[in-house]
Formats: sequence, structure tokens, C-alpha cells
Amino acid sequence: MELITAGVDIGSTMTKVVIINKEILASIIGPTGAEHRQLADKVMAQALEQAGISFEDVHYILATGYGRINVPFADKQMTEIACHARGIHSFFPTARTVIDIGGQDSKAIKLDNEKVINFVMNDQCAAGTGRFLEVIAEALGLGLEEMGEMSLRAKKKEKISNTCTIFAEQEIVSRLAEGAAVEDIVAGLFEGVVGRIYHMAERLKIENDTVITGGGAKSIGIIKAFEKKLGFTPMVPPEPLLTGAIGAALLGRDLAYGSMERSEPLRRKERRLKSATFFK
Amino acid sequence: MENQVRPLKMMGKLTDLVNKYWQDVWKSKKEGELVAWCSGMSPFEILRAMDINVVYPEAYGGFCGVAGISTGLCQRAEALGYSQDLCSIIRNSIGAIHGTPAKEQENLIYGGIPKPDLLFCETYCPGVYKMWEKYSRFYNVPLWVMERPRMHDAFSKEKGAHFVKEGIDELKEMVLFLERLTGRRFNIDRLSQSLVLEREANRLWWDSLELCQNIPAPMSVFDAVSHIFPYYLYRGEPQAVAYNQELKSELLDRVAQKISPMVTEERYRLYWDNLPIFFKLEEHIKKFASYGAVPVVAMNSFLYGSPEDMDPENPLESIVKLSLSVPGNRGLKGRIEFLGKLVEDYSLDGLVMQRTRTCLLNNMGQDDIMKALTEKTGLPAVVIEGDLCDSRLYSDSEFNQKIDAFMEILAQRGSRRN
Ligand code: SF4
Repeated sequence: MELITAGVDIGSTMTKVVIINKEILASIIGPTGAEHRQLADKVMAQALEQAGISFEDVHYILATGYGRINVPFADKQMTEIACHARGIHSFFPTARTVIDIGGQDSKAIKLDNEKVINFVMNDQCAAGTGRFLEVIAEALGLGLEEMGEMSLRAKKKEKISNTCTIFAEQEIVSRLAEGAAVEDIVAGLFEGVVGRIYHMAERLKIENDTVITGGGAKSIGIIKAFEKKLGFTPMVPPEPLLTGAIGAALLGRDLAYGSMERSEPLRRKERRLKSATFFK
Repeated sequence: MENQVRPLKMMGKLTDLVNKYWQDVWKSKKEGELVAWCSGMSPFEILRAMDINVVYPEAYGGFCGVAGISTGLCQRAEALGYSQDLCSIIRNSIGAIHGTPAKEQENLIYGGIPKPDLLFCETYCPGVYKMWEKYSRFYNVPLWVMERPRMHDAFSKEKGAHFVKEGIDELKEMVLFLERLTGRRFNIDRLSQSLVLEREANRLWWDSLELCQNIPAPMSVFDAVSHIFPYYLYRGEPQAVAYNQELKSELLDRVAQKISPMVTEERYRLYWDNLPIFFKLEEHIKKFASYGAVPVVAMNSFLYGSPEDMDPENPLESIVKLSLSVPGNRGLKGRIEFLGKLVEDYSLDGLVMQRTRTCLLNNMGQDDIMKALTEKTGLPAVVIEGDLCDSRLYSDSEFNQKIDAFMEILAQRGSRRN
């Protein structure tokens, strides 16, 4: 019988749950609110329903992401660096560099097969993250995906030099007032964001194959800007938001099978799925 | 197994000695004795040999940082118009000296910093040099600046001969300047005697650092940053020798009993680049300890050159060599060589690079060093963004996130010793 494992990835903006055995049985993506614990329970319940199994059927649960410590029913916590690496490796075994553009941070991971050799993260600043793009999209009254497509129609690129999200927003407003085209502004913006992430990732020496993942990978504007900067086409997983959760479920599976092979008991938590909130 | 933090017994003595140092300086000031401000590498031995008291405003920044009051002092400097990009150690001092109303200064830690009668610094850190220039104008007191050229590779007799000669000439001029200023005669024999003591204290300190090559290390980088102070404040005086002697014996005891200051079982041994983040010492000890990881060595702990470069019979030459041969005064190539050796000597498993946001001096080249070292040694490295004193430039969640991920990498690789 194939073991069933689950990965719960509580990111700063999105919460993702994946249940797997040999294949993906369920995957849920929902927004992360302030009450991580309650949300983790809720999203897990939805995923169980989608998979048509009960909580007790899940052999091992691994949590990751910023909110990983707020998943009371998880057997183990690991960082999203390890989980992304494992998830990406399952899709692209030849991947050597992973660039993850998340809501609150962006990071680059250097891989040797599924092993993480090194990583870098952007530091204490929204520039170069999904949140930066979101704020700007809101200011322009556009959706994120729409903004990506729009950038492809640019005739030239308007340079937005401010890295501070608030100042960049102000800069954009004044560029619009000067009559710059929205397409050119967003194209310049993507170029700027990608430039920052690229230079951070270059600290690890970007190597092919390179995979872009996280919410940012859903924007065609980001991918095209990366393609230009890298000089080759990066790979993108089928659902970039899910690689962390898939990786978590796979790492849980590795641990479960590993302990079975060694005939060791698998350390699991006394766990229950319940409704609890941060504030109780 | 729950990890036990076992601070060195010397901690009590350290507190007493540091308190006494500040009390004595203030007493001397009140009695009308001369007080000089010195940057960390100034030729303070000559000042002490002429009965001039020495205060280190940079060290004061460190004390305030550990006490958790630096950010407020930095903000006071900013209110005077200094940019947040300026080194936080410097902002801290400006905030204490200049940004705090005179009548409130005595409420600061150690009663604040006594006003200087003269200022000494070397050209090692341009930020300090600029601050000293400012205070020379502000207090209208003389400023003496010593050149301290960077050694390209490492200091050696042949390559350094020219710089040593120039350094000695500068010291001679400095002596003449001090004689004119104080009306006192400089006594070179007294200087030689103090160098005998300084060499001994220095040797004991280098021995203590070397003892950390043992597994488990008897002292962590987080301890070393505190226990270096008696040597720093009392160089050339018997107190530093006595303290370092006792420290070394305590470390020897710990080595014999295999006692680590932080963990029950030392799993990973780490290099720490730069100084620790002063306002987070305790939390960082706990965080690393929770993984059985101990930062056992930092280049910054080798604050002064090697005792081998000291010869009390030639005191001026010794002083110059001591400052030129500091490992941190080497160029990139020399630092990489030095660190490569530490990796082997201290059986290291990984490198933690603390990037002090506002210290341009230590940031320059840090990435190059990290790249070269990871390539040379194959060890993983992590960059921690932080600051020595300004807590606004540091984030707990980012620190924890990076350390958690780094520890996963170490766990995957396993310790080099297993
Ligand atoms: S922390 Fe850096 S910039 Fe500040 S005084 Fe020290 S060396 Fe100079």
C-alpha cells in the first residue's frame, strides 16, 4: 500500500495544502489570513474532502512556509528552502538553480540533485517580492496577470529607479502624469524587479537548468524579463504556487519510507484536526 | 537533550573589571587628569606611558549595544541630522555625547563618555576618523592621526619593512607632540615594561582562542566578544595579564571536562564573520544552541597582531607591527588565506557571515571572501543581515528563517567529524 502524506505550506500571502500517495490526491490554495492555525485546519479539511480520505488516513504531515509553526497537527516542520528544492527536483531533476518569488521574500537556491547546497534571500525589504508587484498593480488598477501581459506590448521601458515600494509607487504616479504609457512603465518595473532578484541569485552563480517558482512565476512579465536577463528560457513548474507544499509532502514521504526501511518507528505527533485560533 | 547555557565563571570578574575601568576613568577626569579618546588601534601604549587616561568611544558603542540602549542613542544622532547610513557605533557615540542633554548624560551607562582633552586615531576606519575630526573641532582639542596602511597579503618582515619604518617615525613625532603638550618627559623604559605585560596578556588571549580548537570548544564567539575587553581596556597593565591567565585556566578546565558554554552536545562548529549582533547575544546563543551549533571562531576575535610580532626591547617597532599584523588588516587574499586555515584548525562545518549593514569597512569584500572560502573549502555559508547596534536594521524572522534553512543544510551534510 502506498503511504499517504501531506504538505502544508503557509506562506505570507497564500496557504497551500497538497496530499499525495504515488500521485497528487488533492491540492488546495487559499489566502493566508491573520489566524494561521484556524486556516490550516480549514484548508486541510478541504484537501481531505477533495482526496476523499479521512485525517487518520494521512500517514505523515510536514509543514513549511512562514507560518509552519502554526500548524498544530503537523508531524514535522521544515523551511520552504528544503521543500522548494525537493518539490522542484521532482518536476525537474536536472534543475541546478531555483528562483522563488514569494509574497514576502524572494530567494535563490542552489541544488545538487535534491540537496540544497546554498541559498540566498532578499533581505528585510519588499523590493523584489510579490508584494511589491501587488502594490504597484493595485496602484495602476490592474490584476497581476494582466500587468504581465501588458508589459509584452511595451515599446520602450520606463526605468523605475526607486527600490522602496512606496517611493516606487509615487514615481510611477508622476511618470503617468508626465504622459508615460502604462505598458512601458510595467515593462520597466518588471525589468527592475527581475534585475534585483537576478543579482541576488548571481551570488550563488546561476546555473542551468534554472527554474522560477512561487507566485511571481505566474506572471508572464517576470518570466520574459528573466529570459532576457538570463539569456536562456527558465523552466516553470505546472503550478508554481504548489512546489513548496508538494516538496513538503514528498519530504514527509521520504522520511516515512526511510524509517520503514530502517525499521525505526516514525516520530509522529499526537495530532487532531480542530478549529483553533491564534487568539484562543 | 535540553541544551544548557553555561557561561564562563569569569563573567562576574569581567563585569567588575569593566565597571572599575569606567569608575577610574571618571575619577581621573574629575581630578583634572588628561583623558584621550582613542580608536581601537591607536598607539595607546605611549599615552599610558605618559600617564594619559584612555577612553574608547567605539567600545562604548559595544557596551550600549549589549545593554540594548543603542537604537535610542542612534536616533538621537539622527535627530541632529546624521544619516542612518552612518555606522551605528559612531551614531551611538554621537547620540550619547552630543544628542543627550548634558544633565542627562550621567544617567547613561557608565555615566556616559568623559570629554576628551586630546584625540587619537588611525586611518583604519574612515568613519571613526571623521567623527574624531568633528570632535576635535567641537571640543577644540588636538587630534593626532596615525596612518595604518592595509597589508595587501599579510604582514611579513620583508613586505612590511617600509611601513614599519614609517610607523616608527610617526610614533617618534607623536612622542614629541605629547611631550610638548604635557610638559612631561617620555620614558621609553616604562613603555618597554608595559609591553612585557601586554605581550603576556596577548599571548594568553591567543592561547585562549587556540583552546577553542578543542571539541567541544570551551568558549564561543559570543563569549570571546566580551572576554576580550579586559585586554582591550587594560593593555600593558597587570590587570589584563591576571584576567587572561584566569580565563585561560578556566578554559583549560573546561577542555579537560569537555564542557561547552552553549550546548550539551556540540554537533556543528561554525565560523562567525564580523562581530556578533550586540543587542541579540542571548537570543542568538539560544537559537544556535537549539541545533547543537556553536560559532567557535571569528576573525574579529584576533583583535591584535600576534605576540610573536612583539619585542619589548624594541617597543616602538612592536607597537607598529602589532597594529599592521592584525588579521583583519590584511587585504582580501591575506584574509582568505587566514580564514582557510581557521576552517582546518577549528574543524569547521559552516560559515555564518554577519553583514553589519552600517559598517562599510567590514562589508567590503565580505561576499568575495565568502565565495572564495566556500569554493576552497566546500563549506556552506549563510549571510545574516544585521547591525551591531541599530536594532531597526535587523529582523528576527529573517534571522530565524535563514538559520533554520542553514541548519537543514548542515543536517543534510552532517558534521565533518562524523
Ligand atoms: S563598525 Fe565599522 S564603520 Fe563602525 S567604527 Fe567599527 S569599523 Fe568603523
